[in-house]
Amino acid sequence: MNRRDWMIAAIASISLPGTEPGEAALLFADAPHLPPGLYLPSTAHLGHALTQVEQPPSRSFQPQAFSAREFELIRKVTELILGEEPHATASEEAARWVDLRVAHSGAVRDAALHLDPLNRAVAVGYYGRPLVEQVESYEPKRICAEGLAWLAQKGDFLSATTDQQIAILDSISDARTNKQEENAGTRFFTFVKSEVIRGFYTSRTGLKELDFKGNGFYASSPGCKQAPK
Amino acid sequence: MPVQERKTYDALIVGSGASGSWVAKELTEQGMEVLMLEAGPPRIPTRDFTEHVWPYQTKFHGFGDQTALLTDQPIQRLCYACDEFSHQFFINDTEHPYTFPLDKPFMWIRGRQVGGKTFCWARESYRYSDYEFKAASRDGHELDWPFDYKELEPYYDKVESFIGVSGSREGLPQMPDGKFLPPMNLSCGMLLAKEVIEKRFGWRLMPDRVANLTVPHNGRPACHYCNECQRGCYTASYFNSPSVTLPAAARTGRFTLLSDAIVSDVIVGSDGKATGVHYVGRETKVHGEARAKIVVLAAAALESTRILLNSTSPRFPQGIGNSSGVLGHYLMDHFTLEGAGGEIESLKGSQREPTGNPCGYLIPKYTNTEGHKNGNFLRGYRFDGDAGQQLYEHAFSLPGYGRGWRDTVRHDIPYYFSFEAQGECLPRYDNYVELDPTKKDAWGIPVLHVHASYGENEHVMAKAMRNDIGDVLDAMKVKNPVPPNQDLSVFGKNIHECGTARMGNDPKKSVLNRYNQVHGVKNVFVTDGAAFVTQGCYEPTLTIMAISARAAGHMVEASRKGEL
Repeated sequence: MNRRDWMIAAIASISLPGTEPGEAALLFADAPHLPPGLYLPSTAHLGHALTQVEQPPSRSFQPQAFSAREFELIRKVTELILGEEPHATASEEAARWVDLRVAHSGAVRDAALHLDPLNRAVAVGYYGRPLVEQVESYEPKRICAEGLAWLAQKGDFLSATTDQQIAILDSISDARTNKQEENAGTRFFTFVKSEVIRGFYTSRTGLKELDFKGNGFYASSPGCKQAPK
Repeated sequence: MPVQERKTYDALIVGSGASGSWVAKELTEQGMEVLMLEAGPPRIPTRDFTEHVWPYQTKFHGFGDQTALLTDQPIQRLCYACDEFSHQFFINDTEHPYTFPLDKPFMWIRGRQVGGKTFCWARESYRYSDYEFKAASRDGHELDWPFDYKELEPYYDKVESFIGVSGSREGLPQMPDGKFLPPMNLSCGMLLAKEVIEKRFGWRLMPDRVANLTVPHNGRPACHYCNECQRGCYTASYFNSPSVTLPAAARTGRFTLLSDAIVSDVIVGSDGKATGVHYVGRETKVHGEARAKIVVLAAAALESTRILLNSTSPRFPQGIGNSSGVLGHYLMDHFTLEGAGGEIESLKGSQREPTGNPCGYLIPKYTNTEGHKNGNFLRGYRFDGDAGQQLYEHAFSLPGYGRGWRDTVRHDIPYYFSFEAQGECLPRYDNYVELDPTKKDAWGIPVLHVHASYGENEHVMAKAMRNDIGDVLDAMKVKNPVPPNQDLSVFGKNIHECGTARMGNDPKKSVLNRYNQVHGVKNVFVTDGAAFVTQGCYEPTLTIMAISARAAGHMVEASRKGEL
């Protein structure tokens, strides 16, 4: 039995509401009389839903937006934001997410700045002018370059002790006592933290940590177990 | 030499979405040979459907390639349903431009494929009542529909019974009950809101009525609540035309589907009757003609009107159905006040709840119904929203970092109540579409120039909506209340555009008669939202399907009598 046949057998054994247990799943290839684009109910998608395999981060990763040294710094900051042990997978993945976002940010800004005036007018109508102008002026590359330069002024961040690193981050985090003071460090922290949130909490580890109960299979409509008072 | 389809079909339908598929089903089941032309390609489930794909299985974690979206889909990306998982169901804006005055932006969301926008619609399905069909008789504004609720009721019954709509029976005259499958459950926050709002305001709060199956129905399994309907649905547990109505037509053996065929205009003979349509191959750019005794335009409101406007001839120099000058006019779309909400502190918790209902809650219209007169504006609005745990949104506003911060994100789960209002847009002559005199799409077909803006009635209504929203948030005692956005939604944002080829008994004031036939060209029908006379404050798709089924019934009867 090859992998595809195994998958089909596995799928057929799963009962969805409305199908008889063991009823053979209708696959699209079994409905040849329908014109292309039409389809019959199928459980075929369970195949890819059942094949969730966690792949470790590729060792051959090359950062796109940062030099090797800069990426080390980004990874360390990400580790500290997530409270992870050194070289943890979660922070490696989140750091790579930051790299991806920064690498694409220039092209995003260019595309926003070159929107046809009519399309821009719709975007303004939809989002409001401030948000559209924010996208047009947002420069993550510059924020990171200036932030890393600010870190460099504090010494060799990677060689500092954990307590020293935390002290530096404390001075620029959104929990700092003097919130009125803004500098390249605070802007850098704000940017990296927001992207770490996006990257981590959409990762497999992050969603598992949140105990996300969505994207699943329920036999009945989720409701309220205990009516609120 | 254009390609010519040699066969003359009994009927030719333009568009494969909610409307066209219902006409196809009804006509083929009554013995007619039908050709359907669909502008877009077929969607193949194994290639195009993405439900159950996790964010981390995509390059941009579900947020989308923003560069590509801004470049290729700068308008479509604004739709909530156009993201990294489902952008393939939306058009490429660069191939399908349209124009409008810069100070009157219009957001036009389109899905061109077999199935049209039935892949990405929100499935809310509410019956209109005579508050919509006979609104003009109540308040004197514009026209009534040329039929009443009682006449459409059996078609609502037929449509709901076939496609499956889940909902609760509420006994409200302003939103008639239907043939429902069991309703979806309300979340804890919605139950709390129901108790507070019904007690304080006397408004009914109910689960959305949606075209999702809560029990097996007509050979389709029930929904399994993954809440990813707009990514395609292998189990066909919500209504989309490729898995429900089109297969029914195909099973008769009398249905032919030609995809990737963009219809440009209706061909009219010297006797004033339509003989077919011209079309252009989407990929080949080869021109062709298709012939039929009846032509049905169901390409979505503005596209059907665009075809009519483009169908010029010496007999119809302004386009088919435009002798009155009304074609293109009375464009409507709902407006919304959005963004309001707050935290329900009593439901904050540390344990994750099951989640996945593909619907929220609805509070039907009360304004300007019996006992709820508001003399400041005509017609009314309804409310809808959601209530559930935040996933990680709260992390952005939680100061700090490190393990302690992360633990707080995990274990202090806020419960958020969102509340918005959707109001009726009055039909106005000066909200209209016309053909752009110079600009053409990628197939050489003139594009539309849209003139649309909200008027005084909408702005006065919005004040009342805003007051009500504030009162509800107060009554709910939400923490950190957020008021609604200051501005009305941009015109077109709700993707409920209707009108521009309205029905009516008087050919001088309407484009279509009471059976969706074009005045003066009796074998051309328009069955989609273009036909609407009023819009109410509810989603139009269920009503589109009902009037399509009704019109199809008339086509069959008139055909048999030799009237077409």
